[in-house]
Amino acid sequence: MTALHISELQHRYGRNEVLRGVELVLHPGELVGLVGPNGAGKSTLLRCIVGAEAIQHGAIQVAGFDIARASFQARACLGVAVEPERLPNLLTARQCQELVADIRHERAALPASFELCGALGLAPWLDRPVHEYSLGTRQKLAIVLALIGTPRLVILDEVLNGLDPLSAYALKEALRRRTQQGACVLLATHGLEVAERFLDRAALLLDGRIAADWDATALAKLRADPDGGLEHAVVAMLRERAGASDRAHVTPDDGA
Amino acid sequence: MTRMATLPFHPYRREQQLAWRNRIDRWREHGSETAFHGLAILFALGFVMFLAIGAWPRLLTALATGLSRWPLAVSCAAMFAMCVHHASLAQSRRQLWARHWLNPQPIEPRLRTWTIRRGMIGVAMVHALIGIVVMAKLSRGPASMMIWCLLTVAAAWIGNHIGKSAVVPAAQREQVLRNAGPGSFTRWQWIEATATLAPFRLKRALWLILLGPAGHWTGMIVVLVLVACFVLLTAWSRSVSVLAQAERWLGTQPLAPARLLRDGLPGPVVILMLACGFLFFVFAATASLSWFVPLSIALVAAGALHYACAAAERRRPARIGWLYAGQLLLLAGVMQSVPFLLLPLFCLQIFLLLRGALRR
Repeated sequence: MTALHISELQHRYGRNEVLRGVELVLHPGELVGLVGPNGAGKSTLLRCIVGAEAIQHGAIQVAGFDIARASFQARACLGVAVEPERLPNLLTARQCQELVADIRHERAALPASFELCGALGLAPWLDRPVHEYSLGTRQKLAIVLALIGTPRLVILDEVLNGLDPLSAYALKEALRRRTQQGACVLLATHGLEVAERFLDRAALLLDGRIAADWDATALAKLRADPDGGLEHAVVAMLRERAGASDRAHVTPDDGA
Repeated sequence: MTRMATLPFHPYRREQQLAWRNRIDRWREHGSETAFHGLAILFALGFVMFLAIGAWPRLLTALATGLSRWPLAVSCAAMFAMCVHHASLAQSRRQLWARHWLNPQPIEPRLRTWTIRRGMIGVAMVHALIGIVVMAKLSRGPASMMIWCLLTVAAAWIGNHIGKSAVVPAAQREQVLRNAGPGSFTRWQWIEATATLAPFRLKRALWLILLGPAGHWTGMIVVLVLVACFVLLTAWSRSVSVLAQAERWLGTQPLAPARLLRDGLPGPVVILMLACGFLFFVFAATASLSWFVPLSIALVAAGALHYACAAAERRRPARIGWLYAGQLLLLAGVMQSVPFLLLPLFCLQIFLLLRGALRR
């Protein structure tokens, strides 16, 4: 069974068409990066996957459950790191984790969750209210909440950006362990070096479509190429698109 | 405790319980500060009660007169106010839940729906209770009370429906009629104010036409007038809110406060002029022009005070509402006790607020 199956997903805000037929299939045990320029639709795609945006066209299945028709079952298979500013200001990190564990019927997962808090340097903040946290500390809590229990698909949006090196390393270790246990992790990121070295697969979202999909073998090849790398490949594609876009804007009169 | 344990687990209720427990713990930690705030709130509440008790007989008389002279207009206005209240509550709650941190969690959809509906039922009950108390005081019979209760239920239903249809994604919500043109403060205020007239917002207003009883043009006109008031009020608040928004991202620029206040003035002034013109039209149509001058002066004064409050507290926008309410309460108190001091006090308030706004 696939961890995530997206077919023909289209989404628009008013007249602005953001997603134009996204096709993506993720399998259990994969650590996948979603890369793309600003405004490519990464966050919209993630919001559609977690059910925060209504599906306008196409379908999304999480672990076999349609997010629109069986949202409860689909969400039970999802672990999502919410935006740090959405966390409840008055609750403590411990209370947040207990509440989420109760909702997911995963009380037994709490010791592991507190252990992850320790690894991420969140332990001193466990009993402090969220409004006292810095942005980075809030982000750590959001990550910990996404990993409570045994979600089959973990969705993380730009979570490595605000983390200190030690916490980033601990998080990568934790994510790697999760994938070894059979979970799939989808990580939206701008860090192409991280994507190249750490991930099993990288998908490039461009103009509302998956424009390129590098599997583990392709990523290994890119790593081995001293003049290339994922960054080189992505930049080449973006430049090619920018060139095509410029050419499309040049009228015959301009050329004459 | 045993009873608590037998209750079914409700994540939103549980979150509220935890938040209140933490809040109370914090109040206990800062005992003296809590006592000071508590006393201040009690004092303010007492003052409001004092004013309300004083105004209660006059309000009842006005209501009785209104009901006997224009029963349809008063009923439509009450229904309109209840619908708008429900619609704004339903919309804000739905938007809140859509962005709630527990939204991606597997929570039964019926729990989410019930949480929204519970709030609406509570508000409808408060509306019904207020109406019943007023009608009892006006010595109306049980039939009127029954009709009022049915109206509150209908208003809850319509308001819920309007609030549901108005929930749109954030990216779509801020669409405006026309956002082209050069970048300027006045242009920005114009864009903010006209966002009130964006098609998805007007859709809500169209629903309110249902409130007008069939065959009664008076009722329909009352509803349309109220819709226009609602649009003008929203345009005003959005255009004044530009001051605080500008401070947030232009505060680091070499922009003198005087220039910010001056550039922020044209939008609200135009809206105030429109509102006065609208008042003139309404009073001319109802042949009661003697009301026009005092009401226009009150409107302009209230607008000026609000603008001054927004300017003075533009760095802490959450306090603008409180400051404005406090200033209005002060004016109301003086008007009740020493009316001849009203004008000097108003001038002093404006002077102090603007001085504070220019200093920062």
